Amino acid sequence: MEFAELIRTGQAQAELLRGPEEPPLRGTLCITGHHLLLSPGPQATPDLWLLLLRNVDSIEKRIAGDSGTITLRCKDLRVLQLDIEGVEATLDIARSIEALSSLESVITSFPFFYRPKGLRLGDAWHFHPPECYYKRVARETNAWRLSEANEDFSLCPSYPRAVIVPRAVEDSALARSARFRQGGRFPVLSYYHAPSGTVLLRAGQPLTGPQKRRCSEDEELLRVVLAGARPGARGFIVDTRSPQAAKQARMTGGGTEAKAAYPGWKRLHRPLERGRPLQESFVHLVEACGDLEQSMDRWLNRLESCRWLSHVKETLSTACLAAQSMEQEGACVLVHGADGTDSTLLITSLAQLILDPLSRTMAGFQELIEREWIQAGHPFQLRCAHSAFSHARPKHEAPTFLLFLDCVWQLGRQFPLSLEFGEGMLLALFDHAYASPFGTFLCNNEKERCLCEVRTRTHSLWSGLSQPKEQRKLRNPLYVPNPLAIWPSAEPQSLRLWQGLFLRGTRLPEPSEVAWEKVWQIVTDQEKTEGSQPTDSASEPRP
Amino acid sequence: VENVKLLDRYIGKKPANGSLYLTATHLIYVEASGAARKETWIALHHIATVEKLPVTSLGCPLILRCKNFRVAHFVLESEVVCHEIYISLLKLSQPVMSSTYLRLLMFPPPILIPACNSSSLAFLMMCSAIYVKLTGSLPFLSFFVPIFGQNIPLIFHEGISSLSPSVVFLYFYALFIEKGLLLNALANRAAGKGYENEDNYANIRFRFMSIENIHVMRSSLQKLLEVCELKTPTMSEFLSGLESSGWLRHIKAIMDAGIFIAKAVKVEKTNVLVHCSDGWDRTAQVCSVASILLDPFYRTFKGLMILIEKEWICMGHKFSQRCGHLDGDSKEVSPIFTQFLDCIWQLMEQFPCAFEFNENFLLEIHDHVFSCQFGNFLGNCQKDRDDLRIYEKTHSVWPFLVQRKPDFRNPLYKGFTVYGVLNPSTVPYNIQPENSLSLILLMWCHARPPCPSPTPRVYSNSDKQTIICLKSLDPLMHLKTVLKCIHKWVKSYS
Repeated sequence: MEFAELIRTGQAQAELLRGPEEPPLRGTLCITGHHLLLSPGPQATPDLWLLLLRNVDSIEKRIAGDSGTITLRCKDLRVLQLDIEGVEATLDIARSIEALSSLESVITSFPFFYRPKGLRLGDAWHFHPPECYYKRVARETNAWRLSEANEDFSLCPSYPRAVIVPRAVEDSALARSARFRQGGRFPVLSYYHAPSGTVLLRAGQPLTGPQKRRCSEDEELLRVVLAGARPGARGFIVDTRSPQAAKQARMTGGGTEAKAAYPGWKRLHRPLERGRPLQESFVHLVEACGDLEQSMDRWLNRLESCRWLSHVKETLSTACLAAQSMEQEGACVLVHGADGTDSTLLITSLAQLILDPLSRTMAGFQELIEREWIQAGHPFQLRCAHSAFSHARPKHEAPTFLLFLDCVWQLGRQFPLSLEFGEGMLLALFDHAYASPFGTFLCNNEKERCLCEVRTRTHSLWSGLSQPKEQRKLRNPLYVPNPLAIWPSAEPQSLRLWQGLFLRGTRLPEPSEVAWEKVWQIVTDQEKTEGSQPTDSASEPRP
Repeated sequence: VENVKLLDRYIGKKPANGSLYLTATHLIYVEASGAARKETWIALHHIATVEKLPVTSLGCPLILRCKNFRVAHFVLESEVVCHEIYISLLKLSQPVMSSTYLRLLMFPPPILIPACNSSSLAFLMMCSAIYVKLTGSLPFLSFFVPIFGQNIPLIFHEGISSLSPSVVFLYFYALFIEKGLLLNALANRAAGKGYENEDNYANIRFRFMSIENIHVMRSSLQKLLEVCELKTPTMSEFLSGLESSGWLRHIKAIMDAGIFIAKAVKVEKTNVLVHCSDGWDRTAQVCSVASILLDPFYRTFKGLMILIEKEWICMGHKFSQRCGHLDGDSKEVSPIFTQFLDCIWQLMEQFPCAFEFNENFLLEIHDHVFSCQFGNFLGNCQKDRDDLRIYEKTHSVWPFLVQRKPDFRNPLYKGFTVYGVLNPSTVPYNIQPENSLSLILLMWCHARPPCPSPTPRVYSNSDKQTIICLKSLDPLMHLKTVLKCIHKWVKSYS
């Protein structure tokens, strides 16, 4: 496909307004296949401004006299305004941006063309395969094995090639359990909690249907899990739907585990919002954040009615429930919703952050996202196709990953010393999930990534983030390893709006950036005077 | 009393046993178990209400609500003992002072008034004398910025009488801030007070900032605390409770007024006269917020202490009444000073590197406003304090706080020169519910023993520094320096 066909005008004179109180930038505007460039001209500093077109969420054009104004609302919640000379040029540029930003094809997307200096293709792609995590589990227990039953993605298209399953369960039994679960997502190990010897599993909903079907292999699998944990261990099935929704799902072939069929397992329902209501909540919140003229009461009212903070609260308390069952009650936990690709991952990944000190390190957090989101089959391409500004009717979009990042941000605010990464890391992950020059968040699952050869033809975000110049922004200077579980408070009094993200378009980032810089300065000064070396061991990838 | 349990609302585990000691000034709770023997001190002055609940299986519960928003929930074994403690706490927490005071002169003897030339000054003195006789207060200088355009920017406290104020404002283009609502002002005028007649004031613009009165503020705080005390509220209950309390709306109104004054002074280079109906509540709030915005000095330790001395203590903010130190009229109690601290907190959130002190400093000051351990916040005005001989009989809180400076230092402070005039945003979402609440919540959840009161002693050589510090903290000294600056400027101009 030729990008040239879509570019109506390559160049125009324009002025860019980047936000409150930043000086406008004048220069020549150019459109390329993937970028919008503004070059200030030879006399000025060679400061080139550029925007990934994929980042554009909505575009609005206005003509006044012989010039036009284009307002670009980006997926990363920034708002830009371009004043362009010439009516014709304005319309052409707007049309080109519209066409180029909505390209659907993965192969032609920018990551396949991005070749930065200093990075090698293929680097860091094999940083965090499931094999690495299995090695860690195998050091603690013998009850689990790495199964390659899904080698050709025939059992489950959204699982990676290798998954961790109970040692006592044969591959053939896995195949039958897969047929009994939504999307083929049979129960697999998500996290092994060594201190209590309990495990966290995730799956899709069982396909019991109106006839209340059963599957002996699936029942056997869960029985073996309990037997392998410790004698007399109990199990909790955390269903992320309400009891009514779970019952309704039976009409369409889904359902829940019957009590009698799974002895030792107790079902708990913790309804979490997903899909369109979640996306609408996100859209309403961003809308409310963009309104500068409202009164205090109106703002509080909108904050309440968008319900975003309620979703954060529910998510955190459900994750606490799962973590608490494992740590304090010594129970095994299986999490599933309907598909097992959204709220399920939200809960399993947050529970790990709460319990596992390693996942709170820089490398551990990257591993967690790679393992629990990317390889676990969260459909990033569908969920992150549009952000909050898009006028398109939402189909599969949902800010599930953003909700996860928000919860992590809340954790980091309540435990400012316990996370090795800072707000900058979370913001970067949000940006890259929606539009990125790296291939990490492309496609919906491992199968698609293999078909598109993402691993061999694009760069990994993790190698991009490991560059030294990024570190100050991403790391938390105050980090001190904390070997304990961190129990967050999910009370409304303890939760805050993530200003750094939601108020991006309207607030000056300057004071908080200055503060961040100052913290770094203090920490490095202190290290110098103490003569101790900064601890960089945690940043290295774990064996 | 032995075998008392202190219930913690956060750690829902089994409460530890301990002993309760009641002294003349403090209620002390000591945990029996544990190596550390954790102590909880509650100053009796802090106790706002004592509540006795019906006997439960655990024992006899007793709930103390403190003025610094702490809540302590004790469970006692015997009902008789519980009742005795209840009665003694009721008596001890509300000392009664029998004498009544006349509020004649609210201001400290030396005050600053604009000195333009000798004749106008003489005339002004005359006017003021009459004015003082009438109302007991005088327009005086609150803030002076050493930036010069055509005008000297000054902010004045308190209204001036309608005698002939054009003398005062002969050279100045002034801006009035009336902080009551316009309707209120008209109603007041009917009652013989009111606001300045615009016809009498040439070159003067009026501006009404709608800040509510003390009664609205009091009920707002009450509602806010009710929201805080909800047990496991849902997010929407919490947010709508927050909205209906209106606390944030009030904070925003105060900040808006402060910003308006700061802009008028800095950008338009005008003089500003601020008053409300009395001149010691909203006026103090708005003037001190404006001062903090305008001058980096007030963002330092010394500056904040001077500001509080100057704008609040000397200007006759009625601490005793507003804080309910004595068993007085409950309608006079209002969280005016708390709101001022909340405004500073909001600014600190927006400009983390601009303040020399941290939130603990604000919390400590807030504690001591209510603790009555020090003399600064006793009495309603300077006259009260003179009559009580507070300067001879009590310690000042400031040297005590200065001693503990390391605890209160903001490590992110970038120094005096980095930030000039602050230009905060008061778009609603920048005044975060969470931000504003967290100060109240912090106070509310604060579980730490108050520092033991310093033992009275004679100043020795080692205390020299403290004395110097005390001296330089004298607000009058500060005003004198300001006066010198004005004199210098007037000379250079005329």
